[in-house]
Amino acid sequence: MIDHVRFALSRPFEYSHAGERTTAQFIELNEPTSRNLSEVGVLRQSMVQAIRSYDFEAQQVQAPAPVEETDSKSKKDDGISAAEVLSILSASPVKLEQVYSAGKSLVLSRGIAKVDGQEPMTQVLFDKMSARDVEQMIGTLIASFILAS
Amino acid sequence: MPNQISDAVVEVNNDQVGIVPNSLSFNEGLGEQRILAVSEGGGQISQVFSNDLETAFGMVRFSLRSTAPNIERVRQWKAGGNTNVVIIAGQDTEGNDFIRTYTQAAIVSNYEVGIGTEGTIDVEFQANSPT
Repeated sequence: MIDHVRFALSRPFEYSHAGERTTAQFIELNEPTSRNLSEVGVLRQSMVQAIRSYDFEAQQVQAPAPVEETDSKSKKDDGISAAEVLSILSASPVKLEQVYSAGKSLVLSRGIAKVDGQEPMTQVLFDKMSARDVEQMIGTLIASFILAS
Repeated sequence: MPNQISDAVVEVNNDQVGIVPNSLSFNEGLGEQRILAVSEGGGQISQVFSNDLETAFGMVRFSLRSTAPNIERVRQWKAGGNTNVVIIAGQDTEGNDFIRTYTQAAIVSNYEVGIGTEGTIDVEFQANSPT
């Protein structure tokens, strides 16, 4: 199992490193530890709820024909992408606000996210990220470490 | 009419820092200049303008409350030598703003930590001229 993934930024931002200003290209995301159990719990529960409601709605749409196994299940075995995570969450009744909040808290935890693999993520740097990048980064975290575990 | 700026954001190494009110000051790192006289005879003088490049460094000064995290924070800045970056940004009530970025900033003084009810740490960075 992987212990870190690299998330490429669509909108690079400036940050400080070794006494100079430089432009960030990617965020290195590391596997959460037991210190992050509460955030991991919220994200896992949100995803399970979202996947269940996703399946339920899929069955309703295709009713009355019986559905054997859903696509989400087979995709999960093959690995689910960040985009799929976001799609499933967005289409479910799960509140995205709580997912983003737990995701942000996780990203700001010590050792989880490093800008260009060298500078710890801080509130200042997080605020510079585009909303789209933040969503995709949280989706990547969920797909890589929450669902994969 | 613009208002006095009495509050500014201080960011050191990607972290926002809470400072003691009214403690922030900085210079533009433009250095000192001198006008030197040249005697031309007959009571006439002209001038030679001179830049003192030795003084063309930036400076940022502020105070922090002597909390344990701040004591540790300043120690890290000092230990980092000139690998710090300090950014200050201010805005008045009408939206007029300024921002200065000081690279290769170092705490060169042997700073003191004041312990007491109102104890502070007076921090002074010397750095490249701001951009």
